[in-house]
This record gives sequence, C-alpha cells and structure tokens, in this order.
Amino acid sequence: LAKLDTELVNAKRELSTANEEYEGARPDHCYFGSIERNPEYFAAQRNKTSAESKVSRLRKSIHALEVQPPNVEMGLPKSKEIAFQWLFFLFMPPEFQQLCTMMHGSQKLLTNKTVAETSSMSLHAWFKSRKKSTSKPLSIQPAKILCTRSSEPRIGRPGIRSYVRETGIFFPDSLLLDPVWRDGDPFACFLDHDSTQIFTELLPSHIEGSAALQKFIPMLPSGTREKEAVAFQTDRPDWMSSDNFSAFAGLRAHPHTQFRSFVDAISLDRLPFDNPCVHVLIKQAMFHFGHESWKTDTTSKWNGLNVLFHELQ
Amino acid sequence: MAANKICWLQMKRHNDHFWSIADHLDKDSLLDGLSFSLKIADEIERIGEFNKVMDVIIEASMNNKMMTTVVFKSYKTLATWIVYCASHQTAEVCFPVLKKYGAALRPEDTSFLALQDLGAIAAAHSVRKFLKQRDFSQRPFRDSDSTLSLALEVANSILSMMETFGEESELANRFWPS
Repeated sequence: LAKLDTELVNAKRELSTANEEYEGARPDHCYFGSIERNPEYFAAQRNKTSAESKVSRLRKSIHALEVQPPNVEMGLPKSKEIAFQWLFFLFMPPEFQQLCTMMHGSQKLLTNKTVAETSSMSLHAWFKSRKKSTSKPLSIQPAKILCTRSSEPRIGRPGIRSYVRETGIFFPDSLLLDPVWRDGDPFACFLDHDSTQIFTELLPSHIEGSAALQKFIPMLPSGTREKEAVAFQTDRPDWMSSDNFSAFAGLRAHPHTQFRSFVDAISLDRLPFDNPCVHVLIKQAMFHFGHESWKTDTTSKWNGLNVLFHELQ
Repeated sequence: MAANKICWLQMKRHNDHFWSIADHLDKDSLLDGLSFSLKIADEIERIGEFNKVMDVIIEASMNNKMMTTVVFKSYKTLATWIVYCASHQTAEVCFPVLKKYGAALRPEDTSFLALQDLGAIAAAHSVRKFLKQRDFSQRPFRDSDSTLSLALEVANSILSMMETFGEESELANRFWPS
C-alpha cells in the first residue's frame, strides 16, 4: 500500500506537469485548423491523457487494498475478573441453577402480575458463536441467565490507514454485565399490597352486598376505613346495622390491634356472627393475628391468641 | 379434573413430606444422607407435581363455600419456599462463600401466608427462622452488584472455569500477540 501511495504521488506530479505543458502548448490565438497541425500540442495532450489514466488506475488499486478485514470478536472478556463473572453464568453449577429456579418460583407466588419477559442479549449466544476453543458444553439456560441490557455492540473502527495492531479485535469487556431474569423479574413488580390480596379470601358471592364488602377483608393498614363505612352507607347491605357496618370495616384496618377490635366486636356484640361474610372476615383475621410474632408463638405475652383468650375469660 | 379423594391424599402426603424438610432446615441432618437423603432435583420435580394437585384443589375450593381457598394457596406457596430454603442450604454446603450473602427472599414475607394447622405453621416458622439467619443487605440474584460479586467469587473457586479462561485467552493471544 505504501508503495502504491508513492506511485500515486509521482503519478499526480506527472499529471500536473503534463497539464502545465498542455496549457503552455495551447496556442494563444488559434486559427481554424491550426491546432491540429501543432505537433507540440498533440504530444502534450497525449501525455496528459496517459498521466490521467495512470492516476485513476492507481487510485483504483489503492481502493482495492483499502478493504478492511472482518472484525475478530472474542468469546470472553480480556479482564480476568469480568471473564470469571461471565463463566459463572455460562457454566452455572447445578446448585445455583436449582437455587435460581426455586427463587424465581417462590417470589412469583407472591405476585399476581404477569411478569414481562425481558429482551436482552444472551451471553450464551455470544459466547457460543465466538468461542475459540471447542471443548465443554454450556450449561442449560436457567430462568436466570446473564445478559447485558445493551444490544449487540457496534464496533467502531478507524480508517484502514490509522490501524494499529489491536484494531478490529474485540473483547466484550465493555458490554456492561447486567443480570436479568429471562422469564421476567418477579422481584421488580413485587408489592406488599398485591401479596396481601392474593392471600385474602373472597367473600361468598351469593350473599347480598358481598362485592362492596370485599375491600374490608384484606389486612391493609388504613386510618380511614371505619370512617369510610360511615361515609358510604349505600354500600351497607340490609343484614347489617350501621354499627355492624363500621365494626366490619374497621376490624382489619390496623394490623396490630386486630385482636383488640375482634374482642371488642365480641364483647359488645357488634357483628352479625351468623353471616358467612363475617365468618370469612374473622377467619382471615385469625390467620394474621400477631403480624410479627406468629400466633403459635405462645411464649409471647402479646401473642394474639393469648390476649384473646385472656379477654374472653 | 375434579378434586377427588386421590387429590386430597396426595396433598396430605406431599405436605407431610415438605414440612418434614422444613423441620431439618439449617441442620446438618438435612444433607447428611442418614436421617434424610435430599436431592434438590427430585424435590423440584415433586414441587411440580404438588403444584398440579394444588391447582385442582384451589379450583375446587373456590366453588365450595365450606372451604377456605387461601389456606390451599398458602400450602402451595409454603412448599415452594421450603424447597427454596433447602436448595439454598445445599448451595451453601457446596460453595461456602455463599454464606457471606443473604437469601433472596425476605423473612417477613412469610406473614402473608394463611395457615391453620400446626404442622404448616411450624414449617412456616422454620422457613422464617432460616431466612432471618440470612437477612443481609447483599442479596444475590435480587440486586445486580451482589450477583456479580458472588459470580466472581464462585467462579474463582471452580477449576474448570479457570481452565476455560486460560484456554480462551491463549487462543485469543494468537490474534493479538502481546
């Protein structure tokens, strides 16, 4: 290429000389037919044409040589640290695959949102098509695989003339590692509120007004639930008095004093205990008595059942 | 499929099995192969079967006003959480470096469960205790940074990964001698 470059420079010089000669040879005043008969002019013209074709020929052969060789992409990052992180996900030990499967499954049961699948570049695919060695099968892709959120890299390249030794060789170090769940991330869309709803029983639909009462069943802390009952008397079914209604609404409004509200309701006879909706409410409250120390933790003085028992005595 | 007698029997059998695993959580007896021989792969398969049975039962309970659906949903969730814990413990035994990190699930989330029989409640207790022991801020597979730092530490301890890295970088050097 360097040789051709020198030749091109030379040829260009020749061309400009030929041009000058041609311009010089052209008669200042040309009479009709006098140009054709001027031999000096003819020679200059010929020189110019041949110099021109030489330049264009050289340009073409230089252009042919300037074709860039394809990139060489490496399967693993160059940095040992990053490469090892890749390897963990590429050849994930079965213990971790199982752990991921169970973790994903467990968390998914706490949310009813369908988790969107994540689209991202698969590390497996990258490595598989670019690895240089032939041995070792890859691990199967568990629910959790390592991907980079960025798409395939666009490898910037300088013109061929500014190539250095490492140009065109690409190690994937710069692809930012960002592990994502292939089957969607159940941790991302997790909300306490949703989980509470999942584990809240639905009121029997055949009871009058049960749809409007459903919102009082889940244990969602609220300072205004009892007042809601006062405010929205239209939601109150006929089988409840307005005192019944506000007791029903407030029973599960404050998670830590549920049992107190319950005892209150029993001793003051504030609930129609023969109604199936009330059964569901009380059952649900019993499940979650003592939010922090479970109800079987009978050693605790504040255990819900202990207090309830005490009160009922 | 209707929830027939076999479904209920299967549910009982599986529940007893999972709850007994919960009983061994955080104890050497879980994996010593004497009192208990546990293969996580088998348990994952069992969870699949159990979930199928439970789905039938949950469906049936929704149409039956005598049954409480949330209890069955809770059984289903509890079993999965128990196997998760067992699998975490197994991974800890194989890769002790995992002990530095927390579990991905939060102990307080067991409070959502609605359980009524003592066996289930005891099992939920064990799960909660197990997760409380591992309630650290670094939760691999939940946050990106600790996932990557765990990945590095684990890969460092695996010989075959080192070999693969050596092989690849040697072959890469042919393209880029330096």
